[in-house]
Amino acid sequence: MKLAVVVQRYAADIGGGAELHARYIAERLSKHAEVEVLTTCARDYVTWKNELAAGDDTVNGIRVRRFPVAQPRDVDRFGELSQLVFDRTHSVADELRWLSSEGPTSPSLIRYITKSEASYDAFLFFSCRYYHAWHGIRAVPRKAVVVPTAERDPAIGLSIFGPVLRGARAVMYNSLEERALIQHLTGRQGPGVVVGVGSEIPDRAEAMRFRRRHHVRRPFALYVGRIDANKGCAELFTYFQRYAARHPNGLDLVLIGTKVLDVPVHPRIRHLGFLPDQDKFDALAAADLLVMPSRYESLSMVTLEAWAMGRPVLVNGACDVLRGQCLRSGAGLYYTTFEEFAAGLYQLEASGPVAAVFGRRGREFFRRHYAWPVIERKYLDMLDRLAREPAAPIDALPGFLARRARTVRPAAQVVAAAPAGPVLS
Amino acid sequence: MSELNVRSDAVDVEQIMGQIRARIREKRGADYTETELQQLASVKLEKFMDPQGLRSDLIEQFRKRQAAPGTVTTTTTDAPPEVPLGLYRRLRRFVGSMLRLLSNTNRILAFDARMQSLEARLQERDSLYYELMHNLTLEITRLGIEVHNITMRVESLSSRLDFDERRGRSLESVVQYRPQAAARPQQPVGGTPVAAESSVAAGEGRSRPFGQPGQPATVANAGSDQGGERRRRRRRRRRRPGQTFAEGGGRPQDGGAGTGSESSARTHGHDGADETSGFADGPADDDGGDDSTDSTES
Repeated sequence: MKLAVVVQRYAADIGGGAELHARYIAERLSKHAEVEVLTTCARDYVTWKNELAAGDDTVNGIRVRRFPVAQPRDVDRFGELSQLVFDRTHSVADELRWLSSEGPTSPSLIRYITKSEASYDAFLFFSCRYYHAWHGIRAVPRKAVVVPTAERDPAIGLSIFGPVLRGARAVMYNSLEERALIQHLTGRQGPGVVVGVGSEIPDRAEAMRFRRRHHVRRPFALYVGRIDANKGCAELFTYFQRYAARHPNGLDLVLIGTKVLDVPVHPRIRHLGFLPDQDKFDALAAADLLVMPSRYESLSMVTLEAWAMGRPVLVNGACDVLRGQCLRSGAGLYYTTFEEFAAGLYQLEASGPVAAVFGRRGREFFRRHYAWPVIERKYLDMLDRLAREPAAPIDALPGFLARRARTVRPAAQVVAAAPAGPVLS
Repeated sequence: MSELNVRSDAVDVEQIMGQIRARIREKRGADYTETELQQLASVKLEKFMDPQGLRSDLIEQFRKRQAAPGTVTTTTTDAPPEVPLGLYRRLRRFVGSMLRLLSNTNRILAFDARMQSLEARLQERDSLYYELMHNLTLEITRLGIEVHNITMRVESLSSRLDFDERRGRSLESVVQYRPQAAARPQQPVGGTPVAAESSVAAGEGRSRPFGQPGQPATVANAGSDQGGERRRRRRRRRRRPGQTFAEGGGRPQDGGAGTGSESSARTHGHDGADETSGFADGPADDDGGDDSTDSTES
């Protein structure tokens, strides 16, 4: 079996959610099939500037084919088109213009996919909202398996994604909430399974090593990820400063990740910058809990890693996916207000009443749903099923005039009207 | 107030969230809501809190105003102004005599002058009243804010107290429901509850710093080997009078295990006494394993 993993960026040191997800899946599936990665030369997800050499490369033993991006993203143009399609009545042509402006626009990648359809048994497209996935799925719908990594943001409400997600052979969802959202918005009925992704958990993580190296003495809550307002960090800082004033004997806050937002100067907030994986897992071992303030997550890998390490989590309850995972795993609490945040921190302290119970449950939840053998088996079963079942045709694009009719509802309205909340069963 | 009781693995996230929300609802009576906080934050205090607008002589001004009687200015028309000659003078003289014949203009002018004076006094008084009202509003606003602040401080203190109480109770209940703790009365060794507790802690491999209550019972529990230890300790004390074990570099292993659980040591450690409370061993875990063991299991 020969598989192609198609993703917007790919390199060993790219840490973005979908990209890391794609790398893990490619490396894991390479044990069962011949896997190639088809990607662009971009490293930066904002500009899509060609930074890596086009052509063949090998990353951790996986063959990678890189194709140049025809034009970098014009941020202003993309912003204008985003406003148009998200907030105003527009046309399908407007949405296609939005897709091209979002990028990474790489016609050579799409041409290669079309030309070499027969060479691969399946194409795994990661991140359905980007150019490579939309055009790639339309190029090879009979062999397209989509890993949408869709969040509850307006982009998923655009009408152009409906036919593509309906027409793909299979969809590998990250969570039950993502499946419910996509099925509601697109009316998809075909094969699909909630898979998610595992993680490379080290055999040994040492809390003491982290404490010694970074001079962390007090108990702490840990945040791992990009420190960005879009990730809910501004709210986290506000809430934590209030918590620290109210509970002088409570937890500290340790932050790991690249800084986009300024970290407030506070004696109980420590920012350690970007750390290697081993340090991250040592930090998780040393932490009392992981806090995940993001409102938009299709699957938080670091949350799963915290559970794998037996640590409870405190997540933003506004994110359906995270809230649903906490409820289903019984291994974390969620907050929607400051009071809930403060009470949640108290409950989940290592010396608190439920931390140990939650830690055990998180480890069990991870083992049952996100251990690599489980993930690999789901992918292989799905590929096996697709080989046996016939493919359905994909919907054609509207005609020249219909494409230009300004009758499409604003995407933000479409998403807002979709049912929200965690899926409990 | 509702208490959180967690005594087994049958912990439900929704149940815990429900308890948290119930507690928040109970506290809401005295606390600000998010909306109220936003409203307070948006008020421009400078408008009210301008100290430059205050006058200390305001009462004096009022008294002066009341004391000064209204002065009525009268105007007479006995000496008519100079006017041009000719037809106009004759006409004026004729109209003037007719007016004098029909009405007394002196009275009208006097009344007009009195009205003007009254109006001026009222305007002055109005400005004083305005200032008085402004000052009263200012003081009331200040007092209101101060009352709110004090309420918040009281609430903050009570919530801290509540937090500590709940933590204490939860920890007590957790300790009571541990299987080792449940088996405590059956343990013959030591013969006292304190000794039994110390053996539970020792079984978990947790250590506590010296100089904490219950240490003599721990020593008594350690068996015949502890007798020599006790003698050695006494000799050391004699050698260095007035010095504690911790200060003298005594190792925790010398005196056996402590009498409390790791979780209680952690709670104390939050006050910044981490190095002495054994906190550096990493977060406590009820399953008794250390952190590296935890990750290995995963």
